[in-house]
Amino acid sequence: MRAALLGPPPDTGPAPRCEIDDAVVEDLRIRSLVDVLAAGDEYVRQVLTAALTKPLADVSAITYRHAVIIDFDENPEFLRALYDLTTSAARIARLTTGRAPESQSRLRLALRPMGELLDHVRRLRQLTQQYLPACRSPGLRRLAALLAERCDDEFLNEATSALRTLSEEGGVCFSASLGHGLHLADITLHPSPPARRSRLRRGGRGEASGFDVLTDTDGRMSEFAEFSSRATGRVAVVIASTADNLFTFFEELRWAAGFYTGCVRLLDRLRNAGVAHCLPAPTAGFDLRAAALVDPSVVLDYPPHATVANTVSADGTRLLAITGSNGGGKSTLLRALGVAQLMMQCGMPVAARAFTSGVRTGLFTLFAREEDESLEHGRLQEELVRLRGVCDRLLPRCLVLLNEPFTSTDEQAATRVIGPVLSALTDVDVTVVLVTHLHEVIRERHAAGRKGDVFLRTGRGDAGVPTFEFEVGLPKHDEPQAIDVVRRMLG
Amino acid sequence: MTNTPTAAGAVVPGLLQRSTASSGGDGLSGDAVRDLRLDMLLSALGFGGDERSVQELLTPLPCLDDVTFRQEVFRDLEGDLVLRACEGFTAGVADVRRSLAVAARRRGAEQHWWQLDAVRRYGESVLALSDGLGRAGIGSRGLRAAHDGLTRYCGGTDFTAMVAESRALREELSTIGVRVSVRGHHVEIAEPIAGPDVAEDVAALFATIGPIPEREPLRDRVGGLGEIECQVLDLVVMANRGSFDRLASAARGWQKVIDPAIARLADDLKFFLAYSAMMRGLGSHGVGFTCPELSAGEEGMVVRGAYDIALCLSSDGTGAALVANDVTVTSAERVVVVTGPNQGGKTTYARMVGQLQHLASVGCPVPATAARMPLVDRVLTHFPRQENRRSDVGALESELARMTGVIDAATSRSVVVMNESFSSTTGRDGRVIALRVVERLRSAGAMVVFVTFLPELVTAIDGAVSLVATTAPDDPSRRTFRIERRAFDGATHAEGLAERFGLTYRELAERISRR
Repeated sequence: MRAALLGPPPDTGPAPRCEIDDAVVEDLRIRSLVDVLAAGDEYVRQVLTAALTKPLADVSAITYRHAVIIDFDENPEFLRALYDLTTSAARIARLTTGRAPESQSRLRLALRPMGELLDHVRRLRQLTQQYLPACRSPGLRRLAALLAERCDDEFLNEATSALRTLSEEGGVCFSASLGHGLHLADITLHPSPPARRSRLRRGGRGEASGFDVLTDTDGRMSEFAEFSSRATGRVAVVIASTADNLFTFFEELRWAAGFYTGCVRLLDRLRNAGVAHCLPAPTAGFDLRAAALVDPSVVLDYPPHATVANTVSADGTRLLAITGSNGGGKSTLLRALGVAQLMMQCGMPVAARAFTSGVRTGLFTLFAREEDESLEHGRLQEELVRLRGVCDRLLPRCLVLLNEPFTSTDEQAATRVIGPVLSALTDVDVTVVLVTHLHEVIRERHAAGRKGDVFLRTGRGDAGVPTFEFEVGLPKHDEPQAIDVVRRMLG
Repeated sequence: MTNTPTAAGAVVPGLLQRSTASSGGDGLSGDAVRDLRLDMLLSALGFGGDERSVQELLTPLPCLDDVTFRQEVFRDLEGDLVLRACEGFTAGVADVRRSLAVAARRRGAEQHWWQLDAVRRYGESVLALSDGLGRAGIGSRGLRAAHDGLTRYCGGTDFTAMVAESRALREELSTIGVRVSVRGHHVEIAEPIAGPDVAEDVAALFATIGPIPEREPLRDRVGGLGEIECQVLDLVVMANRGSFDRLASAARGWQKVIDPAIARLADDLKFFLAYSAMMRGLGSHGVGFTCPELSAGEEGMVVRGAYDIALCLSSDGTGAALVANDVTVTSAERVVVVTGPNQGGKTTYARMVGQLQHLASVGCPVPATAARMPLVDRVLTHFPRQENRRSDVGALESELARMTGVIDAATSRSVVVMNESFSSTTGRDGRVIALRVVERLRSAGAMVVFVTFLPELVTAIDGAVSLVATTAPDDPSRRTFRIERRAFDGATHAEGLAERFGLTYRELAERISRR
């Protein structure tokens, strides 16, 4: 029985994966966003962190999650109740593995959690039934149907009664044959016979005889316990694996509930902050367009930063190059794009009015690291090593975000290296979003006149004040940064 | 032939033919076993407490026919079918013995059950071997005769009756069942019923929740019956009087389950199987075995690509590669002197010659690619003992005493391996003694392999063959472990001596400069 709330049950084989670099979490500053969405719940934090490191690569899996988000967004009490119920199930004491204490047989241990588990199953079924009319998502409808079909009252009553019979102290009754060394073998457990009748029956077969067992020593007691429990070994295994199956089912549901809690909270927070948000549109192509896009960790940070929403139109693009002066919002835009792509591929809402993007096979970032001060080989070599590491993992249809590669290194060398790298990547259908000061590279690339290249630069209003918006175009004249700053400060 | 008539009068002969009760010599002495490092072989073969197999490995056979008889069996065991049939048989007989031992420790119905188990296994094993040998291709006289004997034995009335009776009883017992009810501390038994299987019903009920693991295959319970099981069994026996009485009466007739000739066949096979297993083990490390061609002595000893078997067994197959050597000695060349630098492989070589001669003489394959040699009556050894480390009169006397024992025992068909004998005695005395000893052995007609640091012996003994442990031509400190027929090389020998006494340039320089 699978919960199947995070994606349709896999019919054939494992779902396609999206490769992701560990650096992505650092570079896109995911952790602070996760902390906000977890709102102090450690479990939700774990779930979101894990989910964001395992993005999907399948359009239908993404839209599956969207539908569930909509249902939960409209019925937050349902989500809350589901999360609470599954958390309660997780707290039911599991039978301990390892040696059972002498007085407890394996069957008794296996039976212990079953009563509460079945009770939780009933409550879960009732909960899903209660909200079924309000749900339109295949995920939640499927869950309700599954529970209605497999865990109806008839089943639960039968199960409860079977468990009660097994836990009664009515003794055991079993059939056996004579096995190796005349030990009892092929043991089959029967239902315990009704209360004692006369031992001597009249006539024919059915002659019975018996004896009383002494349990005056520890050895005799444990031998008797072992003898009785031999009969119940198989049924104990059956009960224990059923309990495991139920625990697993509730754990999967809890995980899903934790995930959706984060998603719904994101919608709430963005709503309260007055920020445009949407469920994005994943496609199978090379689309990339966004309207009023922001980086959610910036807007949800405390105290909130003022931020400018951006619009990007780069459908079919292989190279999106962003140039311009420092402090013009290039890195912010880059991050916003990265975060939006990642969250889209996790089936989460996005902080934009609209976001349409192709589902990528991999997501990689290469951001300059400030802390790489003490380098043995020099910065250029370090960066080349990192770049090579990423390239080793790239596949067609990956997305790579490069933030100011090879700054503070030999610009000439960097130019000569990065040009061919960009060509190679874009030629094999890797999409590159590049923020850079290497204007020579940009100009050369532009001169080559490839289709699918988009060049943006930071906008400047009057008196050179950055607008934080972007316009299409090549970098403007090659003014050194210093003059820029001087002009701004001294007018 | 060692045959033991069976109850049915059929004859199942043994496989370790030994033509006369006393052969030319007794087995290898304990010292010789250690000197030739055959104790390693014995331990690898795992004979354990099986004295008979140990004796057979250590005592040379009296005639060529006995040797070929055994070699034929070894050849048959190279075949996969034959090997498996024989291994299955010895394992089965071991099971029978185990069941009989358990039976001896039990009483009543339990005891009878174990006896039945032993008889059943016995019948199975004997029939399986007879059948297996029939289907495989066997060429050896030994296995052919054994197979003929087995066929007659299996067809005999006693055996067939025993097998039939055991099968019938087993069948009958398999139909006996019991229903046990435990309530509180009371245990009741009754006739079994085809009642509902609670475990399966519960599994079917909960199958919709998730997968239930398959029933685990039943494992035989070990150990005797506990008190409660005994009491239950007593009640079952009472309720099935007829069957258990029949069992008890049959068990009374099975006092001696294993026919002595069959037992002997199984024990003989253990010898061959253990040796074959050892050969397969070394084979996987690249050491091949061959059945040597034995002669009455007119031809000399020619062996190609041979190894010291103890060295093979102690190397783990992953370390340095072992070096194979040849032996080429004509029948006229009775004295072989081996010289060369320390750790060059001289002792290993001498040991190897002794091992080859001995293993060939007990009919076993040897670790070589080809081998031809006379059938020796015994291999004698004279290796240094702990006391020899001090050179004093007492040590020399004991060395001489041992040597006298060797000389007295040596015949014209013996091989004597001497390893650095009399080397601790001062130079001239040692030479004289060694020469005298070698002359005495030569006049007895024995073959002598002498490893020594006294190279003068080579020239002093008429017709002695000089073998030298060689070093690499480009690097005199690197031993090749190849022993070759070569005139004694004084230079190499001198180096070896210098090393032995710590008088090389490097050591002296280091030692002196440290002061």
